[in-house]
Amino acid sequence: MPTLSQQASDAGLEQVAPLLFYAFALLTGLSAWAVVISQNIVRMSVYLLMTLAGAAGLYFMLGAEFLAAIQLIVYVGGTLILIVFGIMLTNKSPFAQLRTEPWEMMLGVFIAVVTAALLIFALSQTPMKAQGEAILNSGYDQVRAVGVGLLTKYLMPFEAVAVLLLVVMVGAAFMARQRARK
Amino acid sequence: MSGVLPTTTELRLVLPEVWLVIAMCAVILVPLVAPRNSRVLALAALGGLALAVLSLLRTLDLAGDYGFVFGGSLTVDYFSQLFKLVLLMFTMLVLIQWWIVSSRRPDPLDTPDFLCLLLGATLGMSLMASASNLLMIFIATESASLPSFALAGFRKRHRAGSEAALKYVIFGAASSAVMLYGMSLIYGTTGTLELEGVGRAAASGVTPLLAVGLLSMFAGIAFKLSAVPMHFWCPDVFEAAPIEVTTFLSVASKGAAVCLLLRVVGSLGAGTWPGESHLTGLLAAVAIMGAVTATWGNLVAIHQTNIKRLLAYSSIAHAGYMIMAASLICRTDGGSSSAAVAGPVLFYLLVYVFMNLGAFTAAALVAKDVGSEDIRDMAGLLRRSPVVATMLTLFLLSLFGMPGLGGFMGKVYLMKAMADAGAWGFLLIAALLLNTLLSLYYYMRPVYFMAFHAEPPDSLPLRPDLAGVAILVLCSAVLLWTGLFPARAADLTEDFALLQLVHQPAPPAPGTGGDPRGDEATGTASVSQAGSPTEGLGANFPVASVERGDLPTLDTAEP
Repeated sequence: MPTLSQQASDAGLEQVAPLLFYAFALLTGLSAWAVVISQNIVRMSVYLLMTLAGAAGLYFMLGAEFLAAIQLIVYVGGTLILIVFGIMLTNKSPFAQLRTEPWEMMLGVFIAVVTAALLIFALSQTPMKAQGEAILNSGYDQVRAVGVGLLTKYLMPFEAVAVLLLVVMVGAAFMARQRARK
Repeated sequence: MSGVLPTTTELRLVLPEVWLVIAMCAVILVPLVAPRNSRVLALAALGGLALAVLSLLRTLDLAGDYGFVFGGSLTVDYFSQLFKLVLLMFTMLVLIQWWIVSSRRPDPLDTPDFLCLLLGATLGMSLMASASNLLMIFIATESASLPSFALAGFRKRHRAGSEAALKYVIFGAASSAVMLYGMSLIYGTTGTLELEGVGRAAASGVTPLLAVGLLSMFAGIAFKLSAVPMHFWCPDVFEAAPIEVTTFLSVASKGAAVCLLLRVVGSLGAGTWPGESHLTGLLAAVAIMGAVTATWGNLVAIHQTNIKRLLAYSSIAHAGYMIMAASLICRTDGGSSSAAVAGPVLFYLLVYVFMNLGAFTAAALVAKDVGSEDIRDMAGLLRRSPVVATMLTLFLLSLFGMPGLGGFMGKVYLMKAMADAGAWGFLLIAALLLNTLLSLYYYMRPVYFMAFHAEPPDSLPLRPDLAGVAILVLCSAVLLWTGLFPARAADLTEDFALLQLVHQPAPPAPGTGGDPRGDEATGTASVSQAGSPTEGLGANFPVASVERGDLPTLDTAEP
């Protein structure tokens, strides 16, 4: 199964792929911006949803369908719901305003500009070339490659993450109990 | 397409970690079926650690099989094994310290959580010492950090503790994000997750994007090291956390980060110091970071009155000393190799473990009795409890670097390694000496109060716990041993300072000697030095490998 962009070109629609890219990139970038600017925490989480969905779109464009699907299921579907639940359960009012002081804003803008300048400089100075071998194009083989990788070459990280999640669960349970007993 | 399934040997090499996981599960599951009993659980955790130590010692029999395991995710080598041994034994001592020092008997409801988190953090740190690909480094660092966050806030209804834990979480999450971003840039520019491959790619030219990625990754490691400018969490967390957690974090977390730093820097720039180096800038940045960290830690420590906070800044300074030395690991001039730097750092770490454990235990015994962690409340301690006061003085003197104690020899070996590095090394020595002088003032302040201030009129003689005194005696014995008879410990750390950084040991360059002599009985192994740097990529990596039999290398490229 060819990637979306290949499909597009197959169909003689080369113009669509760049358009799609810019649409997803704009969605990601602008809503990330909105997360930072916004002062209402629920709005922030909705903008975050758009950012994550936009990134998923970019993954689709790159031919990483599996990653894109995971992004949609785990982040857009799961994590975001958790965030909203977290807001509802912890905040007195879901419409709490988060205000930033002007100096904090200025410091943030300064750091952001410096970081962006550094990254843009680094990107412009670095010759880009394809690295490594592209993982298989077809969607089914991708899942297969990921599965095989997790149980062979990346077995150790996989297991380590499993243990990490256990520890985190214990820690989180402890924290929650601590609060409940107070 | 399929990779390699783990072999029995590989599983045996990670058996210590497996025991830790089993012990973790045991401390959670046992309370479900048996009545809650803190003592049984603590013993179970101790037993798990003891089994881990035993299986670790048994892996020394498998030294011929050391190398990259699990598809290159982990590297098991002498270096990692010695660190893990120290780490496991240290964790056992921390457990004992926790048992003695907690002001009241630990809450049976919290004991499983505490033990599980402690063992989980230990597991993460031992993985950090072995991690040799970017994915594993990230997971190991997280496994070490996340339990630490919960441990830092472990005291109930302790406002400062919760605040410090929150600060720790936010700071940790931000630096993890930066590290992960850096790793993604590294992966994007080099196309590999293996440190070795990243090192190869870097050897053929560090692009600006790769440099940004490496810097971001180092920022994450610097957080674990609490190196300036990523140190803000450290004093607050150390002051507010329970003292056994502070002891654990001050040694284990920093030690693991130092090991990780050594491995990362060693893999990245092996054989390139200082001439025609692609990484000079990066290594210089690491060295400067170390010097600034040491100086900053010492300068701020001068004003501290809380003993835990004072020791926190002191631990920042000590991390700085080790970072300074670690930055030299890639140098090749002077005929030295990674072992010449890793050995002294390991020695320093070994001594540092006992200095800090001793100092914190003594402080905890005093604080438990006096009810305050302020050094001014230690007035007259010398008369109230000569044993504890003398021991605390000894530990502080060792932290300063008094001749005759382990801390002094540690600094001497670090300076020796620096002296081999030429002019740049002498700058570092100057920084180290200056900092040592600076540190004398604040290490002596508690001693001054203990010895020359009168105790409060209504004070009773201090009756420290016998087991607590036993820990103090053990620590001071180690410090005296390493201080007065350092040769044995130094040989040991030198022998074990063998970092395996590349898959295939580079063949000794013809005509340049480098005849491998493996001494199987003592576990020493020769360090084959890379030949001339013009001999292709492989020659850029001085191989510190075990030359005993064939190294089973997992050839991950082939099906």
